[in-house]
Amino acid sequence: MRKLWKMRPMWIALIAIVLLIVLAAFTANGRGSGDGLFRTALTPVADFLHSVQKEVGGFFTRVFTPDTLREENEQLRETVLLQQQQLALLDETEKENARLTELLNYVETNPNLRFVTASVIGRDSNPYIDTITLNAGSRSGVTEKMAVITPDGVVGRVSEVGPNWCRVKTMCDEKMRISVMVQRTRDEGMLGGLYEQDGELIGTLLYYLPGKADVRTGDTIRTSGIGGFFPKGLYVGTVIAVNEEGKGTHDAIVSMDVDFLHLEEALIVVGVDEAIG
Amino acid sequence: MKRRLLLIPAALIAVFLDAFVLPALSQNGIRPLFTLSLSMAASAAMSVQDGMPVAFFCGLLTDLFCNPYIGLSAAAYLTACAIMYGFVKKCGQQRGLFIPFALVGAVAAETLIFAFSLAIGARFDGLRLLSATLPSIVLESLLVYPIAALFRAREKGGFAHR
Repeated sequence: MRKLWKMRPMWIALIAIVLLIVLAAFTANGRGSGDGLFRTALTPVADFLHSVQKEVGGFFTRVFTPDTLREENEQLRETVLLQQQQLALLDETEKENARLTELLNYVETNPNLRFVTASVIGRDSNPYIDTITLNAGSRSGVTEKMAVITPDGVVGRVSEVGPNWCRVKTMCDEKMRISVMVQRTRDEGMLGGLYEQDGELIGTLLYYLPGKADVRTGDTIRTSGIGGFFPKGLYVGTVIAVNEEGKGTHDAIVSMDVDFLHLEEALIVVGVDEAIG
Repeated sequence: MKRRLLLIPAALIAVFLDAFVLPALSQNGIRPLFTLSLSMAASAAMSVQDGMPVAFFCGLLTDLFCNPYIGLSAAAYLTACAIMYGFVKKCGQQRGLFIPFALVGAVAAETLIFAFSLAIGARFDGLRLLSATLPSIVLESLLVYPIAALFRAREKGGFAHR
């Protein structure tokens, strides 16, 4: 017992250490975010002392940091900011370049079609983007009912034209109809309407194929040129399901490969030099 | 008594240096804690009754000014003081051993801070431990000797020679 009494400074220290660790743990969950009288009283004091430390410490930092170093630091900070902006711009340009190269390749593989390239400047906010606005209009030779396409497939048809803009009714519009044909069998039909599954858009519906038409999953569907709005031979999509049970009126479901949500550029077909197919 | 009075301005100067001046002077995060060195020096050169109040108040002030956890530095400084006192009690006030004793005390204090930080979810930064914390510990230990010598110089006879 006497030995323990002799060691009392150590016991006091031990108890103080434990209590202080508990206090530290108590304040570790973020100052000011908790409740309780203790923390409510402590937080303003600690915050005030922190701000004092910041101000006075900042003064000494300014005193001990040479002017040249501070200026160099400032310049480096500005350079980093500028380079970050340039990097973001470069990234954006690189992506745009990739998209435009793809469009250019498509244009080069279709020499008989005359195109106007346009950027998407507006998009309907409904889930299926049934209308988009492009930044090309009558000044660029765009007129109503012209076909709008991308290398991924048909986008839709111009429905309204301004001097430097046009609105396009997309394939996601319920009322949109296109004359198409099955590339392999040359059977013609009509494409339009949406096929949804569990609230998700799966594709469009293919109707009015001849009775003995041999349509199969994986068949490529292209525009037939009938009606005159869409030039013949434009890629539309591929058959993803055939209606063998005869439920509904459609014959098959065709995929829509164009990403309407992320579409940024499109080609407006402003002229056809000769028929393709 | 004079020595005890000396502790008050010394503690205030140490807190001022730790909180305001040394952050501006630190290189690569190496920053000795004057308050820790002072607490250990007071425990070694004077007595644990002198060292512990210094450790407690210096630690608490350091926490209030600089740290997000109030009480952690105070606990760490008290640990270092207790270790320092234990060694001095066991081996006597041999000035040649002050620096190794202080090294053990500082390692214990920093270990406590490190363990607490890990316990509340801080990321383990081995590089910082090697490049900043360890050199800081060495500097803190080295500082104990001149501070202790200063306290002992106030007393007739200075350090005990054994």
